[in-house]
Amino acid sequence: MVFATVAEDLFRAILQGTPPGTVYALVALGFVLTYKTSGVFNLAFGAQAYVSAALYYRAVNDWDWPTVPALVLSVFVLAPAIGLILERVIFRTLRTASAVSKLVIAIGLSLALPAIFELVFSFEAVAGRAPTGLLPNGNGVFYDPFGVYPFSRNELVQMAVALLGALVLGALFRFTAIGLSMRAVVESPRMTELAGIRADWVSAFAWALSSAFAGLAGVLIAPRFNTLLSADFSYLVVVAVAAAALGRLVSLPRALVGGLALGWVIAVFNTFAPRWAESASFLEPITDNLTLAMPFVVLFGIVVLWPAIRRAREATDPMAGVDPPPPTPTGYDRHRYLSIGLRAFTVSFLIIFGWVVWTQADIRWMFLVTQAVIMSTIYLSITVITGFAGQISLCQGAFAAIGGFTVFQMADRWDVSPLLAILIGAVIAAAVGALLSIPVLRLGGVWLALATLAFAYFFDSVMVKFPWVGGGDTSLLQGTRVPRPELGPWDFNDDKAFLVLAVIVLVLISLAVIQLREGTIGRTLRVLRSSEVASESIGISPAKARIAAFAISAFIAGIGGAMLSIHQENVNYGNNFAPATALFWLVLVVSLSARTVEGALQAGAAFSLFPPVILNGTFLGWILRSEERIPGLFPISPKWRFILFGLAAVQYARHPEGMVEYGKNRSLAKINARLHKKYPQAPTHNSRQQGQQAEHLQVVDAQASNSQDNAHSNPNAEAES
Amino acid sequence: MKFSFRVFLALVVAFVMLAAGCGNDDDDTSTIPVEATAQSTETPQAPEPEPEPTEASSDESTDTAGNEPEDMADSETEEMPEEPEEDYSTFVSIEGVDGVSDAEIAVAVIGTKSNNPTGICALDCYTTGVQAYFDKINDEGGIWGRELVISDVVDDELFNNQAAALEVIADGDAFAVFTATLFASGWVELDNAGVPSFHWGIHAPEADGKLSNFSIVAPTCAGCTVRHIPYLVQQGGGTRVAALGIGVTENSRICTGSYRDSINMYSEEIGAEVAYFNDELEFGLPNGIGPQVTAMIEADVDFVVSCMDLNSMITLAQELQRQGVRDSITLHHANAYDHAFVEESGELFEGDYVAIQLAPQESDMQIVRDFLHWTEENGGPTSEQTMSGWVNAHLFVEGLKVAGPEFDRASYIDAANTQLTNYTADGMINATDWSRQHSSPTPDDRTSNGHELECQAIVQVKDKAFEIVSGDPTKPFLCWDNSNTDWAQPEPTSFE
Repeated sequence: MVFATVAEDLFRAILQGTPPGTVYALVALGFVLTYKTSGVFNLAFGAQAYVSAALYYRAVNDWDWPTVPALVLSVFVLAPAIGLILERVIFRTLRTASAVSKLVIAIGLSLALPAIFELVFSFEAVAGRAPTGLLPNGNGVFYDPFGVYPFSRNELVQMAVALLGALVLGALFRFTAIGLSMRAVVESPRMTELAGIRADWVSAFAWALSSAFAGLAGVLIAPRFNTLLSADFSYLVVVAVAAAALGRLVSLPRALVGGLALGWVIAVFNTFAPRWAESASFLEPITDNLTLAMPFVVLFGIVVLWPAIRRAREATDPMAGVDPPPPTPTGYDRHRYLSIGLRAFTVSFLIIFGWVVWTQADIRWMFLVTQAVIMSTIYLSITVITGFAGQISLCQGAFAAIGGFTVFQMADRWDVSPLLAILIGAVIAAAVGALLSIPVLRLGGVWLALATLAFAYFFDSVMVKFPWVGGGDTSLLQGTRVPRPELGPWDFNDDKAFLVLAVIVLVLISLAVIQLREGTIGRTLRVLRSSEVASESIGISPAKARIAAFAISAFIAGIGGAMLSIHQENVNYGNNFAPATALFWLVLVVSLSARTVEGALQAGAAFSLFPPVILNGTFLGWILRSEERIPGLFPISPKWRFILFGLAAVQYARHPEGMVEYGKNRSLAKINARLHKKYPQAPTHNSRQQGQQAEHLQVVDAQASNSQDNAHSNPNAEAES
Repeated sequence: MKFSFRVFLALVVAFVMLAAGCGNDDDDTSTIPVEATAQSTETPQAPEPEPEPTEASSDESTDTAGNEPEDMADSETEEMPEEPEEDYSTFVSIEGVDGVSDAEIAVAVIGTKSNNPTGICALDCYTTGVQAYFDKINDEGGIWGRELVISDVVDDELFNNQAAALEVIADGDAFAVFTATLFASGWVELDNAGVPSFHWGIHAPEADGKLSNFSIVAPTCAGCTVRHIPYLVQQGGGTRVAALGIGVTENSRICTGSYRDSINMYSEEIGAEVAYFNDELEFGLPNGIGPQVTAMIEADVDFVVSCMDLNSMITLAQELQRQGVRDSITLHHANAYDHAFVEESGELFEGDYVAIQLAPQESDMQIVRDFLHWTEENGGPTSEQTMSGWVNAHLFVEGLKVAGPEFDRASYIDAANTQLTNYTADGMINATDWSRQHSSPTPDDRTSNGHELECQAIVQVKDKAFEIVSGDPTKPFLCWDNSNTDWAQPEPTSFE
């Protein structure tokens, strides 16, 4: 009798998990479809789905269009058009780029696409105004085929489309010529061309198809949300990745089953966990927190523990050898005099800028400049982990938050000096970073990024809640307040004094990062990026190097997070360190330059100063010497920040040194050439060393591009093996 | 032809700018507060200082000293500005005060419009409310010989509230700041600069202890038991109650716990008990709420009290509908006072109760009629955010009155904190004593920083409209004596 009751409850839970599971399955299918047909880990899938859903909502609700024309416009016109544009303008020329580069581009697009749509269509979400589905009263009419748990019309349509999608797409790839062509183009465009297939056309079709599916998924999923927000779709993507990962991103049936299974697991857990906690109270804290963290724990677990993923290696295009080698790292070709001149210019600029700020800035600009300095410190952590180690970490916000919360807790509980607490927070962050890196050591670029993203969301949904992290009742009564420190005669409640402190910290961290780059760890990381096998053959331990990179990166982020919290006199977690914010950090840094200290400084300045100076038109006021003369078109929408930097991230694949560095080198190319001609001085010891290094790296890079990491992925080869 | 990405980027930028420039802004009419602020506290019922004295109109009201309203009115009158008929048009030239000129008293409004993740109309609706009240006052001749104006409306873009506050401070064009923000990181700056600031009351931690900071309701007691929840359960005929909250929000969890404790405390009196408790729901309920509703059905729940946002409540109501129990389970909402939504949503919330911080628009009160009239004149929605702006503006003006014709920021803050000891916004809110209510009360000490009466305005959804639960539109608040936590039936109360 009990068993029958349990069985009935289990069956009901499975049915209850089917609607959300179907949503995950739809997103996972779309994910797999995109990856299978383009090799791109498309984190912008959610953004594409949102755009179509929002246009459908606008057409039906505001323009009073009938369902079919609205569906045609949003799913079969707009969505494929977006796909075609993305393929033609961005991804066609990046077929041989690494999967990590494409991931970064996708992250940039996930920020830019919703912003572009909302600007063009003046679209704003309205709370409680639910998008309508394809069928009338789709959320209000229910059918109960099993007599246990009814499904709404919208949900039945979602299930039908998910099942049909898996079957049709599976058949397309398995039994049709176009399906085979799409898989072939991903593996080797050149070979496909040799076989007489127009790779460009096939690739365009693939993108149009996957984008249309994204649009359809968006329109179907949207009625589940009671307010149409792009953030909800992005969240779905993060969760659905776990489902897609079950099939290593290449298996449509597994993506379908994975999505459904995810929904079932969550529903079953929500059904039985409270009962377990009732009979065993010690389970209550675990079940309470696991409820919120389930999707991210599953994602992390799959990515870290699934053997197929741990063993996965990116397959290479057999004809990749005809591609030119990657560009040489910049800076090594720069004439010594030019380098000296640039450094002198930079130092002069900073001195003049600092003098202007010190003498002219009011409290607002002092705040913004200080924030720019502190953000630069945080971004140096990205320089280390992404620029030097070549790893994409999407949890830098969590590490920074650890620093901030540590200062808060130390000050609140034990009255510890914030200056000391900064160091403690950084050490704790480093320890967490090192611990996190251990299970992900064997993972490749994209999977590592996903694991860090899962951790970021886990931190956000679970860790922050604990009183010993987020403050509990204390934070509820007084917020997470953080005092400004005092050190002897220096009272850092004074904004100028605090700015000086922030600059000192930044300078120290910058010098440390430069030293790191030029030292053993930096060189080790560079060699690792080029060839892990070669590194191991000469006794370098990739594991130790990666752990070190994570720990150092987390340490720096912890310092920055602590400084930011002290600056604002509050941790302000939701404002400063949420997972989505950290995604924007990455986009900002890689688009400017992830490989140099200068890039981090530019990113910090861009983050804090670009909106008030550029988007608000303040620079025009300075030039015209009056704020009254600023044209009426200012302030420009803040969404432009996401559009410009999101699209700029696209350049990461072509110019990993960053747009600013690339632009600078281009503009200085003539001067550089003239200097080389006029002063063909004998190379100094340093430049000789650098030249030898450059040669070695070029050779190693060229070998790598022929054998391993710099080629595009071949997902289908893994599936067939 | 080689297609350059740079050309494409330039085309995208040009296209988007053109389209954005030609597009129309959508009016956002949704006005639900972000967080549940269901607790409310109490104040004495003596009339507030007005040119025409009004009588305390509550029946059988007492203050904490057990005095009769007349006594309280007398004692309160001693603290009022001298002459009820004082002329607030006296002009005195003031120099060196930011935002004050011979012609105007200027304020700035900071709020969240861009990057708003909730979909509620925050900045625009709140500003409408502020402007509407200013128009009313200016129509009556202004105050101290000056007009009230909004000099600047700043969008903090969700993440930049602190920078926005500093911008306003640095500009020096505003005497005071009104805020409708989702992240109140800038309040520390406003307080440090001694700028009087007003807000909609959802950021109690950030407001705690700041004498320059005034909200539409004083900081509420997190974790205190309340009586309006058990009262609602009793009114709704509930016997087995579920308490639901969102896990990632500390506010919501504390709120849910206090509701559970409240029902447990008065369980015998109301004949109900907590049958299901869950304060760990996911924000937005992305995985639905099916298993939880099933568990509630198995526990024979017939009433749900919640500390959740509107979107989550819609999902809950839809799931109850799906499992065939919508008609047999009544809901309490903390964030659903949205006329447009209730009109559109059909039967979804029929019969449910909605708690709000202010006197509802269904009240029969002059201040509410004024609000509706002047808001309509401004063409804005009459949402709860608009009401918040109106009440904040009212408080600002009352502070100016008690500050006198020669004022600066410091004297304004001092006057407001010493003389606005029974502030009711002409009846729109539970009376507040700003001399002692800048910090949150605690369960151990409910009165030092708390209202003298524990009050709550509650409406019920009936036929796609709201009805005041007290039964008397002239007395929209339900109040209890806050000097004790004894169970009693509430008194319908007006603070007009």
